Amino acid sequence: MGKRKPKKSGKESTRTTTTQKIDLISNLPDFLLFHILSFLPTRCAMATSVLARRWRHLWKDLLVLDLDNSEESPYYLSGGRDRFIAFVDSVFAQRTASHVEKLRLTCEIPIDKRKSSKTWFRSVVGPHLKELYLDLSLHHNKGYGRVKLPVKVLTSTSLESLVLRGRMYLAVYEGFGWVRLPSLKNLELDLDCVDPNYVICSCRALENLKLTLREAFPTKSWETAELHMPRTLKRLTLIQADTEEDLNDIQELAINTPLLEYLSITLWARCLQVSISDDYPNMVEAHLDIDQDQEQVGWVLELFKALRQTKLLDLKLSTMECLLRASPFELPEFSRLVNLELEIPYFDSGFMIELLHNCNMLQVLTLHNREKVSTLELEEPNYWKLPMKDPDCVISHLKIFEFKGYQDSADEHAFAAYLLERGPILETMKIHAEPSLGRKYKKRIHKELSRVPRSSKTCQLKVIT
Amino acid sequence: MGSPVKKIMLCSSEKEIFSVEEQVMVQHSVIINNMIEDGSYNHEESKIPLDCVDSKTLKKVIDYCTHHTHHHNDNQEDLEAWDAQFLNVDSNGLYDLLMAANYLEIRNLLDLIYGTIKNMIKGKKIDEIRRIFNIKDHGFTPEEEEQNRKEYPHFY
Repeated sequence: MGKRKPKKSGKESTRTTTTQKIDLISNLPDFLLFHILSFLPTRCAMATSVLARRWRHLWKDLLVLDLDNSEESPYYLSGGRDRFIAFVDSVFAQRTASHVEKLRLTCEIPIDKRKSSKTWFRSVVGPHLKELYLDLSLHHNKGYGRVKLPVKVLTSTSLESLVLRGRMYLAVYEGFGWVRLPSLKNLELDLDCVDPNYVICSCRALENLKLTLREAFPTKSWETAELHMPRTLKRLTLIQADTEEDLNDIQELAINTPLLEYLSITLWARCLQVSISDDYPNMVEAHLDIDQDQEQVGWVLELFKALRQTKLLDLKLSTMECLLRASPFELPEFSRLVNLELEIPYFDSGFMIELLHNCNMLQVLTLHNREKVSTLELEEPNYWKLPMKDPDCVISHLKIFEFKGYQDSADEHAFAAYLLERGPILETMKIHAEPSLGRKYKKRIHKELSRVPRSSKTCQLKVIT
Repeated sequence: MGSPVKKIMLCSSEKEIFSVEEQVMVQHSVIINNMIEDGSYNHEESKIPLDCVDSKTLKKVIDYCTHHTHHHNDNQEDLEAWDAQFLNVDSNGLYDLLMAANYLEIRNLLDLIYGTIKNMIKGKKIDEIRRIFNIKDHGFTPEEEEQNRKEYPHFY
């Protein structure tokens, strides 16, 4: 390679057909370049200033700042927290854009640098801010403290997406009503000392909510722990964090959200009073991992029934146990259900057949038998009874059947054999033999099930451990 | 009886004519959607001239829109694999596609290309990025380049 001559060859506006490689970047119009830069972490966008002269100041006009100093980030700045703070300070000092539309900031702020963070917030929070993601904590020599969240963040009229995690606290508490986030569509809260109800109650347009419950509420002893979901919600994810201290009882949980399309709940704190929509007509996907005491199982059953329009339903073991304990347990008709995934405390073919009768459109069934394998080999009675009438889904929809924790009881075998024999469009049957049964069993299971005549010519049978 | 599939004509910079299902383009291209909606496209005689899109690129763009119209129900993995294969082109090809997608306002294709270019930059050293994008003339004087190296030692 010879020395590069400092000639200006920039203006090659008409590209002739080339076999020669073009300078991709230099040919792009500014606004496209700019757009690409706004997808990059700020440290990377900043570094492009030395790629070529044209890039030099481009990043300074970016409206998106992505400042992530978590250890997983490829742009993690080694050399201590102070160095990252200095870097962010320099970003703000050099920027020429008048405002920020999106900010992501993940870092630990040393206690003596609190002023810096206040300055950043001042220049970011304003009428143009649309997306804000903060994952912050305060660091001092004794450990961690909390960062004060600027009040303006929670009264922003422009904000559409807000994610708050880590250790932060709200500055003012004047009871309900002071939070105003009229444009907010997406909210994710994972804070340990902010009562989420204060925030969610004030979001009149919220569509997507992801809430991680920590010991946040009640923050004052005379208040009660309540959660009232906004009626506008389309997606709700509610997770109880697996922390050492358990949550207090939740006095009131309201999920009156008729527009809901997606629901995922992981929760074992007691919910004393729960109100649920009669029906979620738009429901597509529901995942329930709920555990409640006997006195509270009623609402779990109520929720289960309200989910009857869903296309996908996934119930974890504790939820199934709650449902089976609830009385009177009755199965609703899941008229649109396509995909069903169940963890069951024991296998009961009678229950399964009844369930299938209530799921006319079912295409994919996944069962996971979580019963402990008994070490004694008893000759157990066979509970299997051939159904009087085949469930519709077996005859006309069921394509995939997967059975995890298969223990090869007579009942399980009869059920699997039944599906093979009667399912004309079954494509795959996958049996995960309970590992503790050993290798020999796997072969035996395969042999036994292979013998069953199949009504679907194309059905594949797989037995794995 | 279903009516026959409506077609529209697209004309590349080489004046080659491509006939495409109207629905496919309407669904993906904001510009074409607008033309059909406001009636500026006449099905009997007109064709849409795309003077800054060559035939090779136009064919790819049509492939993209057709696949994403007919396979939008495929699972995410399959679609992503198809997209990755689709964008397995040299930087000339990528540039042409980007300009075409931008001109026709095909949002999902634009995002796909942006994402690809982003990944070509992210986590890379300056020299590497210059090589990937074939930046031959960066326009810095040796002194400035020296200064840059001092300022961003990690990126060299």
